[in-house]
Amino acid sequence: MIDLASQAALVTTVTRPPGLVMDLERLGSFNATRLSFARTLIRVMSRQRWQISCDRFDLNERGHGEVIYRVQTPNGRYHIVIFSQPLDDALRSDRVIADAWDITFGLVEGDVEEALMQSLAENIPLQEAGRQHPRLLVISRANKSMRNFETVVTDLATGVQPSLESFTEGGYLYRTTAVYGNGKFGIADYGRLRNNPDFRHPFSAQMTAVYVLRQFSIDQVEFLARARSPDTAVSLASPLKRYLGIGNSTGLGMAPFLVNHPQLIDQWIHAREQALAIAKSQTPNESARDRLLVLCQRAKQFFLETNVEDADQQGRNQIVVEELTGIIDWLEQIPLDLDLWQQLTDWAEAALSLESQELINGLLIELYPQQVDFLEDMMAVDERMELTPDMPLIQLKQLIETHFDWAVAEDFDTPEASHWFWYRSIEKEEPRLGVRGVDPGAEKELSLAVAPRVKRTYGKICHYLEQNPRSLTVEFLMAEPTFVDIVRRIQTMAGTAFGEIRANLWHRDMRPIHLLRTKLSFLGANRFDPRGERWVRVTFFQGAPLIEELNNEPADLTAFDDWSFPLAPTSLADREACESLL
Amino acid sequence: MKVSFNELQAVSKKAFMGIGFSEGHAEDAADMVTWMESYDLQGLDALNKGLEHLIRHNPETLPKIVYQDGDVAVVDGQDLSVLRSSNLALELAFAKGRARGLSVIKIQRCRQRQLIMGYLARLAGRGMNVTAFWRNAQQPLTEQVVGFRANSTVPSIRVYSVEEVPEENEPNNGITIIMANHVDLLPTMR
Repeated sequence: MIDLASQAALVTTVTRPPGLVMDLERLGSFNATRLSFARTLIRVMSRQRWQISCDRFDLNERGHGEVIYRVQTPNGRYHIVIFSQPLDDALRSDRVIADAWDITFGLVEGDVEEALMQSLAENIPLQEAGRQHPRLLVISRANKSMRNFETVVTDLATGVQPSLESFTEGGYLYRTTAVYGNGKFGIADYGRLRNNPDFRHPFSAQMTAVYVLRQFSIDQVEFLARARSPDTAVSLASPLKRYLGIGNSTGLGMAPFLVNHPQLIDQWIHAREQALAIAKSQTPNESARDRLLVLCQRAKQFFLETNVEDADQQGRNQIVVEELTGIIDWLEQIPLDLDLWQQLTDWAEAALSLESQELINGLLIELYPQQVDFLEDMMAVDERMELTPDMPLIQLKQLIETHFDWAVAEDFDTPEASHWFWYRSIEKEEPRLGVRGVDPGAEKELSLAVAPRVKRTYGKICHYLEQNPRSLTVEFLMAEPTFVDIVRRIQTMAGTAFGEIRANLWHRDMRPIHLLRTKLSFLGANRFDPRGERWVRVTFFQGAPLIEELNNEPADLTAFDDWSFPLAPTSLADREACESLL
Repeated sequence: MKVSFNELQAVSKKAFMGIGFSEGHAEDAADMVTWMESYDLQGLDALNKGLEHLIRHNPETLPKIVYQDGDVAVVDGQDLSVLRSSNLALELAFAKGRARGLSVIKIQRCRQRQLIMGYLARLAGRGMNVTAFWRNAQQPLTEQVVGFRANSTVPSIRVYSVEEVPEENEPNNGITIIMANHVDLLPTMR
């Protein structure tokens, strides 16, 4: 058995240059891959034979009440506690400033005794306004997708399966608006999860809660249909259940994470790039080519079936469909050269859209699970930026010129280069963007734009060196102490390749939506549907195996894991499955 | 009310920024308070005791190097809390310790000295043996020695009551820190 460090050391393949990868628009074209956290979670669950069951289902005829699911792993027991409550339609909002939701829920470590249940019932529905229990690992909330929810309940109650149109636009019945972990509002600190064998992968606790919420959404619509019409109601057909995911609406609140956790981002992107490099270094054979063709065809069909409201994104998806058609034609005809994968990515990079380039990269990673899956254990990192005080200041200057050339090259004095400023709203401290010189609050600007800070630091260092050419970093900082955090960041991140997003976050043309998609792709989201420049709706776990399939302890784990780019259940077998329930 | 360490760190950082700390110093100060709490060393109590002084102080006032050579530095803490005055002074000692094997730094005129332990732990975590000494002014007179072995963030804390008060008893509101790159300074403490 080769340990992880040894496996990593064996990887001698060359990753793409950071200057290429860390371009914001490219990052904003990422899709989920097999290393995304939702995919990893399902693999872990199936490998370790997790069992998920419903412990309590106390809903009234309107679907309001309390539901508890038990999650049993080889290492421990957890519970997802869900509170469903009435919500006036006018109060249903995706904004973080909302204070009421259709459901609120939390992931609890251990058992839920009555005293704990009482505390949860008093606080989870309040979300940020509550004082949450330290045995909670995650809290979250979700609202119904009104257009789908009522249709699905009505159809099931009258004994018919819902039409596919109910699913192809969003593909979910509930949409989460925030999923909190890491000590927020009193819940368990990240430190408690770090050594937890069940949730050591980043965001795995959050993903578990969302995955179980998906089951709740199915259980609830079936319950309501039966309550409404016990004589005619039918269950949702399994292929349709599987085609249901959980929606998520994300705003600018996610953007600071990308900037404030550069070491973690480096780890994620480095793993993805390593996986790509490993895949490209494999010798292609007919079997791998056939598999890639299947994946390309599936992805093409997925994008054909995806209807998003955002016209720009719909256009990008259409281009992907057209370019995938060309790639499929090419793959079917090209000789099986040893460097076939390299030819493919070179061609994509030179001639195809960023969306298609990164889609192809993700599909190549999909081809080689045995070679790349060890990277799923390399996504976490102990984050700590530290100073190197004895570094000669001239070396710090050189590090900036070498690793932050992209920041130094920017002219921040032009109006377009300093157009936006980031600030935090008083209401729930939500990050926002203001126009410099127009909107109030620039004096309270958040230091999210790294590039201008680096450039300013660089200027100060050059000036100090003129007077003190042999000084150390710490001597510079004693004279200019306010630069300590950015110097610490520069010194730390100079030792990494992929932590810094190479963009001017002040620039008028900067699209914050790309920041959101970057993180969401690693979480495992698909169906990106931007709502303007500052919001995006996505879907998680669409196509993922159902809990009943997980509980049946699947024999073929490879097939169980193969659920990327889910297609509408229109195949003959799927139709038969639907019809057999009618 | 139960508060997570993450909340304590985040709220402290905001509060320090609110009283004029720059972002980097606010983060360090918040880490120092949170570290104390994580070891049940009453970081919030120590913070509260000097809070009014901390708030009153002019944020523009900075610690000053009074003397330094290759091995030794003396820094005037300007009657500031160590939350304001110690992080870069300690980094200076760290740099000297790395260069020379051992360094000594005296931070004169500083307050809330208990809170310095969080930053000492951080330096120890970076591979430095660290020992700090200070004398508490309250009666009975006590002397405190805090040691960290290199690469360990667990402190050894000893508080000695001074039985024979020396004739020379000028106010001693400084703190002396010894850093050794390779040598475990006070093995008998453990």
